[in-house]
Amino acid sequence: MFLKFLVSFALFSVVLAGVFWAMDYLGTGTVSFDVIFIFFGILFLYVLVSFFLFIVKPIRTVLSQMQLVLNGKKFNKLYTKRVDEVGVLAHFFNQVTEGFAKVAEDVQDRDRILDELSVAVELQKEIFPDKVPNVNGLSIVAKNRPATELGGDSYDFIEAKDKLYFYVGDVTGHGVTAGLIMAMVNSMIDSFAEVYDTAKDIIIQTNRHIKKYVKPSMYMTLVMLCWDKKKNVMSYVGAGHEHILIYHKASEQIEDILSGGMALGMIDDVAKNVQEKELSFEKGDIIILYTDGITEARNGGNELYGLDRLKQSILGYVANYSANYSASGLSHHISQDLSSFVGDESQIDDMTLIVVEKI
Amino acid sequence: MQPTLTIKTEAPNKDKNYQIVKFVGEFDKAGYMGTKEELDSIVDKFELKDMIFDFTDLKFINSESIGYLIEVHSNLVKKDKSLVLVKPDTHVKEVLKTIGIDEVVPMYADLDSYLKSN
Repeated sequence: MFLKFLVSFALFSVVLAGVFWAMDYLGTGTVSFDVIFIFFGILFLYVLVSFFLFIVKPIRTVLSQMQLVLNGKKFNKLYTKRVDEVGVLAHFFNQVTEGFAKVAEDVQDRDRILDELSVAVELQKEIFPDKVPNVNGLSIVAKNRPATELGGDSYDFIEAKDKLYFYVGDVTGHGVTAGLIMAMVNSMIDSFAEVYDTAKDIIIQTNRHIKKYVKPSMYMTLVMLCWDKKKNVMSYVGAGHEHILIYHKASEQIEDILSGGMALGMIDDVAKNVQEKELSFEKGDIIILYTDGITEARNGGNELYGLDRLKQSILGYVANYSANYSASGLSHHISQDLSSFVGDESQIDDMTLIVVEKI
Repeated sequence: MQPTLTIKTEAPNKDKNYQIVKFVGEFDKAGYMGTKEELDSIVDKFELKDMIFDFTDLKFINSESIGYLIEVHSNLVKKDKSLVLVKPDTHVKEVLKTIGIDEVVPMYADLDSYLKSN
């Protein structure tokens, strides 16, 4: 570009100088100082205007568009037929900003999704009980740790008609879909507890509604316990969930009861598949409910934490603390034991733990 | 995430109207993701009556993969076909029974038991 500019400048200068020289020489036979001065004045103006029009203005246009890009403002594509340095610069700008526009769009989309996700996370936090209920004769601790922002594990405590219903549930997988199903089940159970009188009926009705809205590959395992405050009786209904563990103080043994039943959302009606059964639950006994995120946690050697380790952890804690064990102490001990087993391995599934001691 | 599962398809038994798909390894998230496309294709092309998933060499199954089994079962039922599970090892069997899938999908101790029941 500069070469072109210099050539045209030199050509113009030679022509102009020739004209002035000819005019002056033909008139006087000599070239006067004024002519030389005018010549250089015109030349200077020409250089200035050309420099501005051909170099400064196009570069300024490119720079102003770049500034808009850098400030995240709307910018325009640069159109030019020039094939010199300014043309290359404009072309380069168009190429780069084409990518920028895509990235900016992606960033905006990502920000929007993250905003929505954070709202969903907050909503899910609201769904979880902010504190465990204070129920005469029971000491209760509940913990939940999702593997991703939105978890598929669920638990809740609902007091209705002289009964305390509490459950732990696990939706297939985790993430947004699991979180939505978890929220749906949570609100259904909350509503049905006010309407129906048994845990069994609550489960049957919840399944009936879940099946309508959830695709076959998604389901939720759940175990619900019901503490009858008047009768001091604990009963349970399983929906394809993990074992219920009960530490019996009298025998110093752990009883593991497969919750039974069928996961929610698998078939239309689970009335024939679920049963409500009473649990033997005496003073000093502890019930432990958990999700498979705990038993299927793996260490660096790819070993599962497993049900046996969980039971050993419970027995180890109770043996250490003898008469001074507590629900909160046991919950803390299991968490510690699991953490030390898993080590630095990342958490791959949601974890929920409920510990209830009869005091 | 390394694939943890491989599947081997046996030739269809047109006389007995079934085809066996063998699962080897761990049917976890990685296994599920790694084989879903292949499995979907096998299920889509299946034209006999019973699709038998042989779990003899399956060492682990998680809830997401069971969800997939239910999906396969539902798709086959729509086409008047069935999913059958055979020879799950102790752990896999326990997980399947815990969730209650054995009440929806027929499960047999081995292929002979399945053949005798038909």
